[in-house]
Amino acid sequence: MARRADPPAGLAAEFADAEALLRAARRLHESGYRRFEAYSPFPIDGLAEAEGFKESKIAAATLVGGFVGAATGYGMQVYTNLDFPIDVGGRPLIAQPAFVLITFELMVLFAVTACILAMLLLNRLPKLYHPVFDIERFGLASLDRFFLVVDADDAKFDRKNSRALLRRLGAVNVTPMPAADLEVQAEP
Amino acid sequence: MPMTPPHIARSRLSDRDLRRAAAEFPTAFEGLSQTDRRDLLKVMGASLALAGLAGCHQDPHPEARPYVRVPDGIVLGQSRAYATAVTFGGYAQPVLATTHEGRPTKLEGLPDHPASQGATDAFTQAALLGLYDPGRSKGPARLGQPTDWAQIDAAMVANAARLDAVKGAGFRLLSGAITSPTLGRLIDAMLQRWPQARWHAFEPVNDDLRLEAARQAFGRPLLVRPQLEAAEAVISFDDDLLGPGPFQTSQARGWAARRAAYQRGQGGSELLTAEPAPSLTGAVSQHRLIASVAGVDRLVLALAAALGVGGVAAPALAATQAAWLAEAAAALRRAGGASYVGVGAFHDPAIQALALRINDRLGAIGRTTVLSQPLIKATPGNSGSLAALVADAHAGLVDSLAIFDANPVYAAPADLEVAGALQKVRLRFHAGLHADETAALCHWHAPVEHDLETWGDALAVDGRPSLIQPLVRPFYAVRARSVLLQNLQGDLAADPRRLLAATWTDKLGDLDSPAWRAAQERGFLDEPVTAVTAASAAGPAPATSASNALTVLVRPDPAVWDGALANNPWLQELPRPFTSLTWDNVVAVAPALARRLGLKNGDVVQLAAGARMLEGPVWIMPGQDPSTLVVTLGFGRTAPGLGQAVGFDVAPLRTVGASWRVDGATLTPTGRSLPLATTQDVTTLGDFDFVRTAPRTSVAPKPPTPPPPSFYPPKPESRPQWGMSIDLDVCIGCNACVVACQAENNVPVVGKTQVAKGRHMHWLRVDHYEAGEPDDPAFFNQPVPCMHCEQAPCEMGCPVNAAVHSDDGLNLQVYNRCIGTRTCSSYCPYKVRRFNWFDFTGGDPPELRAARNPDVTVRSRGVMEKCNYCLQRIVAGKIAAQVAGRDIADGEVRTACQQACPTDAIVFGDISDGASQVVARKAQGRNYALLEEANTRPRTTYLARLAPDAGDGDG
Amino acid sequence: MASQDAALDADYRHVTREVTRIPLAFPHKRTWWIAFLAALTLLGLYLVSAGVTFAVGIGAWGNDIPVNWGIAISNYIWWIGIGHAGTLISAMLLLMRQRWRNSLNRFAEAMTLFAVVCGGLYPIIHLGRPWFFYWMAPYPATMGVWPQFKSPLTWDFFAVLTYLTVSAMFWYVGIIPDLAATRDRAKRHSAQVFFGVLALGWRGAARHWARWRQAYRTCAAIAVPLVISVHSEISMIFAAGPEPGWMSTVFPPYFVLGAAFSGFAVVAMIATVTRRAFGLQDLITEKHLDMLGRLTLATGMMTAYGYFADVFGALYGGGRYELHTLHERFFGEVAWAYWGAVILNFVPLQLLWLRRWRVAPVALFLVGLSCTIGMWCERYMLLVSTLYRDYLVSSWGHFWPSFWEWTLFFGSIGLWLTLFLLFVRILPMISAFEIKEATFEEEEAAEASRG
Repeated sequence: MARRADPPAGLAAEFADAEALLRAARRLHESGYRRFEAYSPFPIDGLAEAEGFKESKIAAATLVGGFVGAATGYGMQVYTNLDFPIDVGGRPLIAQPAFVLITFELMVLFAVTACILAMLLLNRLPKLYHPVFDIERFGLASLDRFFLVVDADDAKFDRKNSRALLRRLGAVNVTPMPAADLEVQAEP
Repeated sequence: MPMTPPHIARSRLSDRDLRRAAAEFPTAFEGLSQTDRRDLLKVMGASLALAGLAGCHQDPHPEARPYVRVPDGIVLGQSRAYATAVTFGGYAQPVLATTHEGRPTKLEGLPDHPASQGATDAFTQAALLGLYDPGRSKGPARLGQPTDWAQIDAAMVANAARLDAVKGAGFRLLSGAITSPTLGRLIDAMLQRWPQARWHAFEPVNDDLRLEAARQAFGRPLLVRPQLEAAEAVISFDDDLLGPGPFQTSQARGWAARRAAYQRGQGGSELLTAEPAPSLTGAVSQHRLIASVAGVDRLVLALAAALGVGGVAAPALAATQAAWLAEAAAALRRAGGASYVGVGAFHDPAIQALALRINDRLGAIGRTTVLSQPLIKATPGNSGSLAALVADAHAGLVDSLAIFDANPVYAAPADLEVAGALQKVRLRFHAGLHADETAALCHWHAPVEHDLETWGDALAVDGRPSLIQPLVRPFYAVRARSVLLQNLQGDLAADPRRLLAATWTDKLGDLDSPAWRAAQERGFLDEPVTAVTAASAAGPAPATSASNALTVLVRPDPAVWDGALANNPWLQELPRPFTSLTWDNVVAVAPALARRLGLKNGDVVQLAAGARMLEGPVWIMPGQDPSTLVVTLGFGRTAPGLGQAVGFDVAPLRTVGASWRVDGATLTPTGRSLPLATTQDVTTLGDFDFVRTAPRTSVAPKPPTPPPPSFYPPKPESRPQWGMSIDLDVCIGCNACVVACQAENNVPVVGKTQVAKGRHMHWLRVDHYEAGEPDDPAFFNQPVPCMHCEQAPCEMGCPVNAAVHSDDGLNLQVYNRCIGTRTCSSYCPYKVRRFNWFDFTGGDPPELRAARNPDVTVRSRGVMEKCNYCLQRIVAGKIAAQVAGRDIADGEVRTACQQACPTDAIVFGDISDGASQVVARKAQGRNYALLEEANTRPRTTYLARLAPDAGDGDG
Repeated sequence: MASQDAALDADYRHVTREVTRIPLAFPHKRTWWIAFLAALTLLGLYLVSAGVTFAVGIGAWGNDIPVNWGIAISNYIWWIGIGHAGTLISAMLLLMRQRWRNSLNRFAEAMTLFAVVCGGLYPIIHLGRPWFFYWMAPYPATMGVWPQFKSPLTWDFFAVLTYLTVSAMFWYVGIIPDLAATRDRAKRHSAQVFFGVLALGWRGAARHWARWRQAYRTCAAIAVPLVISVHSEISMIFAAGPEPGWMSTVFPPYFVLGAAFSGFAVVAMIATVTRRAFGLQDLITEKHLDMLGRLTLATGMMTAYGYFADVFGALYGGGRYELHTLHERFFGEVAWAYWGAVILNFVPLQLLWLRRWRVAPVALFLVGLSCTIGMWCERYMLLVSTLYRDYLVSSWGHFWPSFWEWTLFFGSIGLWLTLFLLFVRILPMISAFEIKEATFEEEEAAEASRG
């Protein structure tokens, strides 16, 4: 959480357009910055990658969910039929063809749920307050402006140089901001 | 006129309200007021119960009598059976009555009684409900107002005193048909005490014409009883030998016995019918000829001539008639004395007499045609007709009148104007089960005991006396008929049991004698009426009338009979043969006539004969003679009750002279039409093979065929495996099974509105089909219970395991698990499942609840139900067998429908038991499964009807 | 460059403002209230009708033996079918990178959600004992009985529940970024809180976007087979039974296509209406109408093939009862429904071969309406024509829906309208960020080509 009393421990740069943001993010990463994050009103191809984001946990979660779901579905039907065996229309007790459909449905249900939960979890959402909301004009980040926030904890961070770098990268204006946990996972 | 009691006014009111509301908001209302009939029933039940309690000094209700100390010999939850009888048309129908905790809940035929051999008809099955009928009168009434016995006793005593003084002058007794030796004895005693008094008898549907015919043929009135088990050739001239009536059970049994022998290859079984309108007999006969009544008469003459009966000249016949006659004559010659020729009971006695001469000529008298003294007690010198009573009343000769079990005001032909005549009588007593139209015109109404709660006796149709014993103490302030007869003579101390015993002392000794006990346990005395022999005297050749105008035939209704049963909901909702109509009577017309007049079912027509006329909806009856119209008795009752305003009354059309056949009638469409409630909309078979016909050779066993291939695993072998076989060759469509099923399984009645919507609840239905040319089709009956498919689609459809299969092959419906998705019914190819669209049972009056079978769940709203092969009986059988540590014997478990069936068309049993009867049946070549192509593997299968042998003509 | 950016900015701004102004400062409130009150009235009718049915029993309807299913089931199929279009448009086109979908998917998905609600309630109301509907769910009951998993109805229970949950989640995940945008535009505190909470604190971080995209695409990829499975299963309610006219292998595809068809028709109607009502001409452009027209036409023609295959199957199989049912459909008591379906579905549809009609909102709306009614007729016909005269002549019956069935049906439309009107009133009904994304990428492409 942000402590107002602290000296400004981070910088927020505002960009006018997506290309600039993308360029800036790429350059920062090249110049060794790690703890920074870009904000845009819409998803921009390659932006996260430019920040060195690489992750396939969601796909994995979905896959697991799917498997669990399918197993649950089929298992449930087999178990219940064995638990209380009843002759129904002379059909076999364990009628695979009849069980396929519910198995599939539960697979889908679990997969999708897992997928979305994973997304929210990894994104640390819901989180109604975040320091970046204190940045002036950050509200425009959902409209037409693009922001790039560098955390003071970053190894390469240096208030003067960083500000100059951001300027050079085409930031319309750069404002100091309190320390923000950008939730940037440390990379290998 | 007495003012109507309050409860009646109430029931009328509710009825009217519902109708008005329904008129204002039709569609929506159907839902809310399930059906006004049921509500009427309900309201009456409730209010009458109150009215009844008012004058009731005994236990209000068997349900209300707790078993604090269980009486000796009663085990709670275990049913007991009593041999007794219920009367119908004066005759005893011997029954074995089941009671639970003292409540009669089911009537079965008395197994060792030779007349019924354990079978019953629909009327007998429904008689149970007569006991619980909410519309029964439950206490004495004066001018329609509840009163108590003290008052009516006083009136009777006073009148008796007066009559003693004048030797009974001016007193008349009017009764229905009586076979009871006890009542007969008491009446004789009364007439001896009061020589001036006279006794009149009035039974709407009676044997009068038959007896007259016998008188013409043999010189004295004799009862003619066909022995169909001995008749290898039967020619029926509009004589519905297998049709509804007191003789149906015994005659159907006889015919079925002969048919069974024929199937085994022993002797012939030929049946040819000539009739103006389809009858149960005509439907199963090998060659049915459509002929007007006059045509039938001519055919009788022609047959007589063909067989050389003296003094008869052969009339001219049409080609088809000649062909039929030739076949008939041939058949008779083949069978010789083992044949029977019958003419309908409503035909001209002269023609009937001629038939008797033919039988005599054939040597059938004594073999297939047994003659005996009439069983119905005749009034002295047969002088006591209703007409005579009416005449005397008008002549002022009648001062006081006591009416027993007769409702002439409703049932007598209009031209008698009984009501007017009654007004001329100073003092009028009425004794009966209901406060009916006649009671409404009497000063005093005395309610009598139902046969299941009274002491009495009556003769069965074979003359064997049945002893009637009470299975339960009377619920209401009612008295036995015998007691009332004594009361009328001022004797208030009479005890019904002693009156009964007195009749039989010389045979059975007194009440404590073992003979008496034995007779009571057995339910009847094995003393058949002695057959008499008589030679027919040649009589004058009867004249045949050939009228071109329409002829109206008046017939008793196959369900509510002469109207006395109109308050019985089971019978009102019983689908009539051929039409499947419920809750209505119709003017049956031939298709040709309908085409000519542009009539369709339900169109209201005006039926007129001279000045007399009535209005009613028409029904197009295939196979009916174009110049003939048929109407039925028993409807258009005006007395409050279930039958009130149901259908139309045919009395206005009838006269004393022409009470069964009204010639020269005219039919005029009114342009209006009425909704009719039938349970089967389409009856034309088309090219479907639901019902089949097979050659006689097909009774031979066929090599067992391997079951068709299936994806599903074979059934685990366990015993027993239940199955059913229904023989369409002997099924006569009498509906006994339908009512038996309804009584056994607490099947609710839903009323006309719901039946019309296709929501009737019968678990077992009898489908009617017409094959071929609608003007002259072949008729088929097909009882359809649940098929208990081994690979049942219904079970697969149920999402909650409410429709499941049992180890012994039953397709079960678990009511308390059912949530009412109705998938099972959608998937059922036979549509045998029934759904509780409303709460059909919750509103039943307490009386009807008391009639229910405690072994069968009463279904609540929103659940599916259907035939379960009488599961409760199977379980009972299993338990009995397990207790005795043995297997269930073949025939030990019998379904209600099987037990009631008078022709043994239905056989139920263990199909895994090679020796069982059902296996033998299913092995026959003519065995087939309904909708075999659906491959549902039904456990219920059918035996095709046998086509007549080549030798027996075309058929 | 700068001018371009300026133009682009203006573009983004315009899009978001266009979209978010509707929930924040609702235009022509009066019309909305009128429509909403009308919807509420219908909803009231729905509640009354359902109440009556619960009170008296299914007898309040026109059902009987043999037609023990009626409008309830055919409407259930109809509603769920309509719903499928939303998912298909949203998911399939997303996977195919059909940018033009962005203006439609949001309300198409909402439509799906509400249609599934309307449809899903029907099977419960139609139960004989609706208070026990939960017996279809596998829970350890006191009697130890479980649901019967070989029943098509149990399959449906799971299918519809899954479908409802999945489409709800898919829809919500898709709307989060725009909820954030609306939050940031909101002036009133209450609105800020409302949208703030709903937006879960979304802030458009690059990594969030990346994961969001992964999840959204995955869900889309799963949603497409889900749709197909769901309506195939619904077709099993009929196809699994031994009834003539039902037990046909063509039913699953037949039903799925019919579903998509009716759905696209409804989306087309909604598109034309909202476009007009909220003046969104430059978001829902002629191109969108054109595309919707094409989709409707395509699925429509496939459905027509389904009709043909159905008839052909009966004729080729030559089963006596199949042929009889076919005859009933052509000439029987419900022939009106059969021919109604054929005519309403496929005759006006042919207009859509011409672009001129596809891009004419009124024409498109009318064709959509016709197809929607036509598909209703089809569902009704398929159900009744088979049940009212199946095998045994003796059991042939009739079916006339009762007053309460009709009111329940119109009431359910009220339920749908109520939900949808609330949706357009308080939520951003068009996906602004996705449009922006699209615009941006188009610009990129343009620049690239300019070199």
